[in-house]
Amino acid sequence: MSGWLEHLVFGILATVSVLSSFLVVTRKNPIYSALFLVVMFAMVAGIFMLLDATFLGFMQLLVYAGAIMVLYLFVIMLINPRDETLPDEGGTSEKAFAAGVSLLVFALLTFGISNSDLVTEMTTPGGIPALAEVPATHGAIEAFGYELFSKHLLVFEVASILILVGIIGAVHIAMKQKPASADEEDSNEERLVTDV
Amino acid sequence: MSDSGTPLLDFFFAALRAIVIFAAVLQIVPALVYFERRLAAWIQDRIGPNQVGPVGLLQPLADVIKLAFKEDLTPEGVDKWIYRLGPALVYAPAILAFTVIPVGMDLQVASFDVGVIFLLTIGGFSVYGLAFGGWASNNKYSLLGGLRASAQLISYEVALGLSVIAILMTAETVDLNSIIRQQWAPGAAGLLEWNLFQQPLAAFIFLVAAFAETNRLPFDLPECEAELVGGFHTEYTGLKFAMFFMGEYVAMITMSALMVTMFLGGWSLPWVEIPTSPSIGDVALSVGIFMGKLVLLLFFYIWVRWTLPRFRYDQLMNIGWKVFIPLSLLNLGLTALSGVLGWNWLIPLPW
Repeated sequence: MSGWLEHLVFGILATVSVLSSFLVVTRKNPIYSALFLVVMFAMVAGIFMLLDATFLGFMQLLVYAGAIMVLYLFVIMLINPRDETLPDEGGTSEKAFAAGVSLLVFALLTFGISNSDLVTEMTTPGGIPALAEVPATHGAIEAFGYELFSKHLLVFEVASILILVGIIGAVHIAMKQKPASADEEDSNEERLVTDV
Repeated sequence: MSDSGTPLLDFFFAALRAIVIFAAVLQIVPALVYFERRLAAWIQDRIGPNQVGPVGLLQPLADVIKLAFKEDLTPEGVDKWIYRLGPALVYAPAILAFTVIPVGMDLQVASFDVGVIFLLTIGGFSVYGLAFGGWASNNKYSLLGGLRASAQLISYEVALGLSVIAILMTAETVDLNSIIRQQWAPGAAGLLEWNLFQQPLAAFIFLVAAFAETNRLPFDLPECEAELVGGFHTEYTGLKFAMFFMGEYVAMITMSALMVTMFLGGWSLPWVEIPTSPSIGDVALSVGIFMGKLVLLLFFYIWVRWTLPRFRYDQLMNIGWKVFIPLSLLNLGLTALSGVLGWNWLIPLPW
């Protein structure tokens, strides 16, 4: 993709993702928050794809937007919030406090990133040696898989064990509340929320 | 199909492919509705629609005109934005997912290097339409329908994805055209190369999960009229209802097309050679073969719908989590094992 087009697409993706993240925290109704969170995930996936990490981008969509958010939505819909039943949130002082904390985090991150060695290296001409030509398979499933199962195998396996622990814990909690002959549909729904 | 070298011409061909293929898929929908109503009548020993036009062939047109001129009601107390978003979110993903399906020899709207994953990802988004539509309608039946839809789709997507992964493991690629080429072998024995026979368990799981994913009977719990009036689309009228309806049929076509591609050899037939530089005639023939298989599979969908009774919701969730997901995991394990050991896990069969 030519340079200016890439910048334009990135600009749109970044702006929309920042705007929708803002809307996630400001919307009163959690359904809207969930909706804008999905939009945000989609935009981040778009940025991944712009960086040629197509597979990672689609995984972001499949796992976060396609599965995890559906479960969030499921829980929100079970509670079924309506505008008239929602309590008023926070006064001016609370909002100001939240804005202050967010600004502080933003300033810290900006400071940290702009002063990191990597950025200094990248922004000074000749700071990093020219890269060899990027292989065509860059970001494709095969390259991704090799990387994951060779360099990062230990981290990958540790993460799997962590997820397994989570699953077993969730099943255990669900079982304790419901002895063998309990209402089937309820226990199904609980397992559904915990398993995926 | 191929790059001509000039970007403008490439763009023109890409646009032409998109328009022709998407339009063709949309045109299948009314034909399918007519086909379904006639077949249902035949199965139930009735006559079915036979008054509008010769043997009732103009019935779909009459239905569309009726839907377009119906009053577009918006009930009081609905959440207007999400209420309008619902039908679009069912319809758009269904048609977008069709993008990667090869309808003929290397002929598809767009080819990504992540083919199948794109389809599953985008196709899965239609659950938002059902859930949002059900919630925004401000009706308890709609809400229950939306809840059922999201739980059901999430549950069966796991089994569907795992059965697809088993195929990707044997094929060692995610490119749908390569998967089709691997299923081709000359002569009648070439039929056994189809993944339907190579991976029968995956094919069965995929078929059942596809029924659940597209909300078709015997798994149409989100809209079962005996319990939930119309489920998530109870409060929708006119063209908004039509969009839900179209989305459902397009999703059914997309799922059938994926099934044809992954398990039934796609656009290839064992008796038809795959030339390396295909002529227009070869491509047309491959499109014909694909359509033939698609129609047979859609017939199967309709046949099942009017033959099997509806499952209960707890039965649906039980077989989903306690039968299909363990089965697909078992299949995945056996496929991996046979890949490592170099034999087919269907030991008695000599291939």
